[in-house]
Amino acid sequence: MAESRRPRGGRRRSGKRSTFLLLLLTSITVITLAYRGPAQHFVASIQREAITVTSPLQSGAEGFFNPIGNVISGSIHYGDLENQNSELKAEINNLKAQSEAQKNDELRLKEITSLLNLPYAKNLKSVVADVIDVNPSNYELTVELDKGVSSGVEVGMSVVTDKGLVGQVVQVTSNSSTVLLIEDPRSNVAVEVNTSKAVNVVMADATGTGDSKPLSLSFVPPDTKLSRGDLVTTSSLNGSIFPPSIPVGIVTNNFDNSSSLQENVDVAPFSNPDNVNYMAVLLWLPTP
Amino acid sequence: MMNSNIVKSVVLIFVTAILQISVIDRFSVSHVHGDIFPLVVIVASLIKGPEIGATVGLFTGLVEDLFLPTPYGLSSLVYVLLGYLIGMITIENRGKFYVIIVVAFGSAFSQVLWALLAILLQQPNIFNSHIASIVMVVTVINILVSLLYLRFASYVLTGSQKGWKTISTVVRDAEPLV
Repeated sequence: MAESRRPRGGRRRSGKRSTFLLLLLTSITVITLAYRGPAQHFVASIQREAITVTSPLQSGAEGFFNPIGNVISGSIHYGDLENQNSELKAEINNLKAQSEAQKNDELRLKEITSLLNLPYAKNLKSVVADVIDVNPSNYELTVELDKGVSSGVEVGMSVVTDKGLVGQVVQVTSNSSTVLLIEDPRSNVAVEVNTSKAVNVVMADATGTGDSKPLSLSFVPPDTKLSRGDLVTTSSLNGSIFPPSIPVGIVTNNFDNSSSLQENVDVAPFSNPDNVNYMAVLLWLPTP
Repeated sequence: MMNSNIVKSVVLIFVTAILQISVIDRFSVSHVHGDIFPLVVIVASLIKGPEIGATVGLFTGLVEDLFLPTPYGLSSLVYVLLGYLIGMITIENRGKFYVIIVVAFGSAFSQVLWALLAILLQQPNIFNSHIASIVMVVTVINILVSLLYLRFASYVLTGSQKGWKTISTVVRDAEPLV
């Protein structure tokens, strides 16, 4: 009896391995086809549809969870009240939540107003968009906006706050768009540094180096006199992929390395997407 | 029975996807948010064994990759390996503490393996990412989320309302890999 069971167990084990190998092979095939294979565009369109379908859900969740976040924030700031009775705590938290909500509304109104009157882009049309997600992947520095093709947004358009440049639209669906932030290492912005110490405007490229890190300027000739606080804006040269004269940041460090062919310059970007509820998409594309 | 398992697994994957994009993505620690997709694979492997664990892993990964800018199928490969591994190493008659250890191991393993495979596929940002803190934060968040999530997931997969007890006592025909 025991012997008659043994082969069945063997077949079962072999079946498990076959299933496992089949699944493994399937996933490797999917990667191969979708990464650089014939299914690349098909997969991209499915991904866009998935984002389109779920973006209203994300917008709704943002509206629902923001007040909860405000209550949590209020609770943290009033930690000493935890020793008081529960009725008083509830009342204070309720008042705090209302206050935070009101402050939040005022802040949002101020943000929208400032985005409608961008001082550096008065001649450019723009669309104000709600930030529905920041860094959906832990490995990519992107934000999701709730405006897409239906609002005139296209891939390649610049995204800004009232302080300056945030990034560029890299993916767009009918009602949402993905913005690659300038801090992302794949981002590269042609810039000019307006410094009082140099006769001419200094042209350079600003490249991202990661989350919460300064941008790195490249192609700055050695012995260029730059100072901390010098303003960095997008390049006004023809052919730039960003509109001219948008503030990018300020020079924070200038490591003059005499043995190098170029200077190492750090730039602190003006815009911090973590603290922003709205952004403006400039309806501008470079002339081909 | 087979159809019933498929329907339950599909429901669990989609509810988890909705939870991930609408709730978990909203809360982050040091710019890192939780990733509860591995929990689907872990709970399926614990309750249903390595075969179904790996199968659920494949489809969970395909759904997760819809929302990620990284190569499509990468998460599937990770979760197939995770599902099979958890199903094979799991012992029967395990306690609550053992399940938490498996959740911690599975969460950390999936993040590390994902990063390694992404490096193999020459993804540009991996070396700039704080992988250690991502692994740590995702693991801790998943342990906390699993206290409620595993109860819910075991109910969806088995219909039992005993929660942890179900995960701890389901008897499977798990066999060693070698």
